[in-house]
Amino acid sequence: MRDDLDQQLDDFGTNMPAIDWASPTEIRKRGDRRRRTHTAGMTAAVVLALALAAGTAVTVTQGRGGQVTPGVSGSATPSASAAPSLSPSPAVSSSPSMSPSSSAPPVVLTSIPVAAMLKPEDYAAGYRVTTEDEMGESYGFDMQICLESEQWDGKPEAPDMVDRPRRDRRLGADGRGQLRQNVVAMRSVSSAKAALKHSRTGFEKCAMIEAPEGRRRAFEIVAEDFAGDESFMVQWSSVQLLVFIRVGTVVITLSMPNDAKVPKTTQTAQNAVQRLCDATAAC
Amino acid sequence: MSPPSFDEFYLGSRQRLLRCVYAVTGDMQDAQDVLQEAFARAWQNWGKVAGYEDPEAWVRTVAFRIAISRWRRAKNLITAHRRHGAADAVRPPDENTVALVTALRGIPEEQRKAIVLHHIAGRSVAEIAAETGVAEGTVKARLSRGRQALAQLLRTESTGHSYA
Repeated sequence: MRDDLDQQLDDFGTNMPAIDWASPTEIRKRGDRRRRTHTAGMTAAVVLALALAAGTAVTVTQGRGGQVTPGVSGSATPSASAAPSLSPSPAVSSSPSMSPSSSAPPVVLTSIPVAAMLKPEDYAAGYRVTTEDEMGESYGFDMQICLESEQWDGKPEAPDMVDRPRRDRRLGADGRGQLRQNVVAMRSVSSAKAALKHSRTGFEKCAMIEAPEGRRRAFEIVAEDFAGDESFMVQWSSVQLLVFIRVGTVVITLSMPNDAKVPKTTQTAQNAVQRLCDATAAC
Repeated sequence: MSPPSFDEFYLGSRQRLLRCVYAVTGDMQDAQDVLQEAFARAWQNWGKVAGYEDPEAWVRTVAFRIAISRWRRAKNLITAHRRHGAADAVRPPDENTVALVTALRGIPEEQRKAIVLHHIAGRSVAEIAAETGVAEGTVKARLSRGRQALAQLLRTESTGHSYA
């Protein structure tokens, strides 16, 4: 049965004012500029942050009924290769450091298989893989404020990551925050190290940020060297824990649910490394 | 990648999408800016987006994300300068539109998005479920609660609407 609210919703926007739209050429130029800007100098901290945030998932995942759920800057190619057989659920009792042997060159991955990503049981009961968009805040925007206010000059500069193979995953549970994971295959070990170095410097330089309307935000490194070849964990104010891990030439980032604590986060980080090592030759 | 196919897509869908984005942003200038940014990103990824079953849904989803993210950062100087510079270019909407937009801004994001997708973008419950990655029952619940919340804010009598 229709009612007055139905009418209002139906009528919404039928009387909108005329808009002075940008021409198609201008829109295409804007898109081309974005592509160049991303290649030229977007910092790894913001790229990684936005890759975790709601607005910029960089892979396209298939939702229900075949409808594709987009990423914002979909420059990456999800792996189509079959995953090698997995070991049983990760049993990690200590930090799995999987440095390549000194005689073997580091492996550069050309894709990130689905099997390399966290499964729900790697985190907690009740969680499932989700494509639902959690419209939450992103620490990347606080980092952007830090850059714009020149509290940090963005150095050491981030390596170019825009066209690198990557995959992201979200784990969600009803009534609880999401765990977001992003995995990027860098060109080299030095490039992966540079990505982490850039991010870590950003958090150190932006330890305290004064955001608009007097909102204060803080970043604190609360743990390091707990997973992979190098790793650090950041507490973003009272919002959430963030994890950055390098495994050979691969960079893994985790954005934890709000209620995740350090021990659980550490275990999850180690599970993420184990999944990557079981499914690829990165370790 | 074909400029003509993108141009045709942009010209053919922008007005329709503007209604949805305006319902989320509540500000016509912001809606236009957000939508144009979403189209720029569509062009940036046109090789993939052009092949999707529903490229319009892609642009709409991206626009929603940009809008929500910007809203959370709202009130910084850059936004204020931009808005101040262009505000006179757009005639203000009528008071009913303003009332509805204000009310939409007063309900939770998931409900707002469901309402906009269903009532303004004309998507079915099943399509919204697929687009947002939730169960159809969840969509129905958000629509129902969203309508109740909107009606309360608008002080409109809402009969028990059925989302079949």
